[in-house]
Amino acid sequence: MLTASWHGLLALFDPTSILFMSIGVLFGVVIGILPGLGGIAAMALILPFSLSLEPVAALAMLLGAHVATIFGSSITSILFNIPGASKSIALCFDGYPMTQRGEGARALGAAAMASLIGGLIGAIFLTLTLPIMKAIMMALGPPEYFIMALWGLSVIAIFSSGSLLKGLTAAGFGLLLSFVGMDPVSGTARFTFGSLFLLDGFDFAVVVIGLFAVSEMIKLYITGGSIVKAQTTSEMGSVWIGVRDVFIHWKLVVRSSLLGLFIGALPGVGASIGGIAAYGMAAQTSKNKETFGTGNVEGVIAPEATNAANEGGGLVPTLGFGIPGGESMAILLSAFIVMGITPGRDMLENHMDIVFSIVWIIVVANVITTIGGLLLAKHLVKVTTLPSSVLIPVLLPICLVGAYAIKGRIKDVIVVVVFGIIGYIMDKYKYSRADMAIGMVLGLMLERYMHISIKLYGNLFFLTRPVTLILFLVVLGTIFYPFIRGYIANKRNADESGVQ
Amino acid sequence: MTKKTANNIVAVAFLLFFIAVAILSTGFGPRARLVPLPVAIGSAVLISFQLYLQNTKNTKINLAIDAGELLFGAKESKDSSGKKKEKKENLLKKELVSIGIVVSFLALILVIGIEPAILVFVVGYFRFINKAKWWKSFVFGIGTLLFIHLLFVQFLNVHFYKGILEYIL
Repeated sequence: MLTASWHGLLALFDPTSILFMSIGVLFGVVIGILPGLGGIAAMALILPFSLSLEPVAALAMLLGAHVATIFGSSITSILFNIPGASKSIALCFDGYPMTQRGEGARALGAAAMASLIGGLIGAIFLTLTLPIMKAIMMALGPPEYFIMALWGLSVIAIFSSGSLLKGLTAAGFGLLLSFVGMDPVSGTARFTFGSLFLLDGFDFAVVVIGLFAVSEMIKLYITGGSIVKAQTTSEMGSVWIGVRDVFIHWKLVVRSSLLGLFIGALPGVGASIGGIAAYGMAAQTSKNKETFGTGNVEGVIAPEATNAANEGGGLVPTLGFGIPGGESMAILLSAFIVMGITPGRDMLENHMDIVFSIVWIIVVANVITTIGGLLLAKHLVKVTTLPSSVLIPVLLPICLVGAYAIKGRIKDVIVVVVFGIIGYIMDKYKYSRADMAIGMVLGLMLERYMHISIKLYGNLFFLTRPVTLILFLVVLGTIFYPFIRGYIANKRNADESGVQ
Repeated sequence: MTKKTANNIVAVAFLLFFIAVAILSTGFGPRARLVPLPVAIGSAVLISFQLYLQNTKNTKINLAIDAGELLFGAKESKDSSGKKKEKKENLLKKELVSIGIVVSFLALILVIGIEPAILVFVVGYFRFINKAKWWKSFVFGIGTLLFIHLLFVQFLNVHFYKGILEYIL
C-alpha cells in the first residue's frame, strides 16, 4: 500500500501533471464563481481537453477543476448571496450576513481553511475505507435514503427563526415545486399544463439564482449603498481570524467532514443535501444557535468542510465499485473508461498507483486552492464595497446569463426572473427562502425512495428494517434534542433558584 | 396598504396556490398523487392557521411612553404618521421601479437577444439611473458585454439566444 502511495505521489509530481492541475484549479475557480455552474459543468467542459493527456495529468486537470469549484462557488455565495453552485447554497445563510457586517474576508478565510481540512479528511478516508466501504453501502437501501431525506427536512425548524408556520409553508411550497414535471415513478406529467419545458421540471440551480441572487439585486436597488453595511477590522487580519475560527471549531470541522464523506459515498444523493444537513447539524449543536442566519462563522465552516469532504466520499463508490456517487463522478467514470481503466475490482487490484494519485490530487489541489483563496480573499472582499449603482448593472446580467448557460434554454431566464420576484416577496414577508430551497432539494428524493421502499418492504418499511429504525430514531432525536435540552436546562435553573 | 393587509395578501396567495395544487393532484393516478396531495393539503392547513393567527393575535401594548410624546402626542403622531406614509409610498415606488427594471431587462433579452440586451441595459442603467455621462455609460456597457462574451461564448462555448426579432426579420 505504501509503495503504491509513493508511486502515485511520484506520478503526480511530474511537471506536466502539476501544470495541468494548476490549469484545472484556475478553471475550476472561474467556473465556480459563475452563478449556477459548479463541479459538474467544470468537469464536463474540461473533459474533451483532458482525454488527449496521460492518465495522471488528465485526472489532475479534471479533479483539480472539480475540487476548485467548491471554493470558487463559495466566494460568490459569501460575498454576493449568489450561489455559484447549488451545493453552496448553505454558505449564503451566514456567509452573506457576515459580508454585510464587514466580515467577508473572515468568512472567506474560514471557508478556505475548512475546505482544505475537509478535503484532506476526505482523501484520508478514501484511502482507508475503500476495502470496507462495500459492506456499509450494501447495508443501506431506499428506506434509509428516505429517512435521510426526512432528516434533511427536520433542519427547517432551525431556519424558521420567526414563524415556524411560515417556514413550513415555504418548505411545502418548495416540495410542491419539486413535483413539477414528469413523475419518475408513474410516468405522469404533473403540473406541466402541456408545456414541454415544464416536463423537465424546474432546474434547482436556476431557481436558486432567482431566489437568492436576483431578489438580492432587487433589494440592493431599494436599499441603495453597498453590500457591506459596516467594516469591522482590517481585511487581512480578518482572513486570519477566519482561519483561526476553523481551528477553534475543529470538532465541528471533523463532524461536518465525516457527514460529507458519508453523504458523498451514497450513490444518487445530491451534494446539495450535504451542505444543508451540515448547516443544520452545526446549528443544532452550537452554543450560539440563536445567531445562526445572522452571520455565525460556524454556519460557514460546517457546509464548506462537508462540501470538500464530499469529493473523497463520492470517489469511494466510483473507484471501488464503478457506481458514480453523483453526476460529476459519472463524468469521471466516463474518463476512466476512455482511458481504458475499469473502476471496481480491476482498478483496486491492478491500478492502485492511479487510485493513490487521485488521493494525492485531491490533497494537492486543495492546498493550491486554499493558498490562492487566502491570498485573494482581501482583494475579492473589496468588490463588496462598491456601490449598488455599479454592482446591479454588472451582476444582474451575469445572473441571467448564468441561468441561461446551465442548459441553454431561454425559458430558464424567465424562470429566474419570476423566482427573483417571488424570492423578494418571501424575504420581505419572512417566508424563509432557505426552507423553500431545502423542500425543493429533498422533494424528489423523498418521493422516489418512499415509493421504492413501500413497494419493497410495505407501508411500515421504517419499522421493519433495523438500520432504518435506528436512523428513524436518530431523526426523532435530532428533532427533539433541542427541546429536551432546553427543558433540562430550564428545570436545572428552576431547581438552582429554588435552592437559593 | 397596511402591513397586515400585505401579509394577508401573501398568505392568501400561498393558500390559493396550495388549493390549486391539491385540486390538480386529484386528477392524477393514485401513485402520482400519493405525495403531492397530502403535502398540498397539509401546507394549505398550515397557511390557514398562519392567516388565523396573524389576524387574531393581540398586538403587544407599548409601555415605553415618552413624556414629550405624552404632551404633544397628537401633533407629533400626525407628523410621524405623515412621514411614515410618505416613506411607505417611496418604498412601494422603489419596489415597483426595481422589479420593473428586472422585467424590462428580461423583455429586452426576449426581443433583441442576450448580447444586445446587455449592452442596452447596462448603458441605459448608467445613463438614466446613475446619471452618468454618455461616454462613461458606453465604457461600462461595452466592458460588461465584452467580459460576458469572453467568459460565456469564447471560454465556455455557450450559444446565446438571438431574440425573437431574428425569427421575424
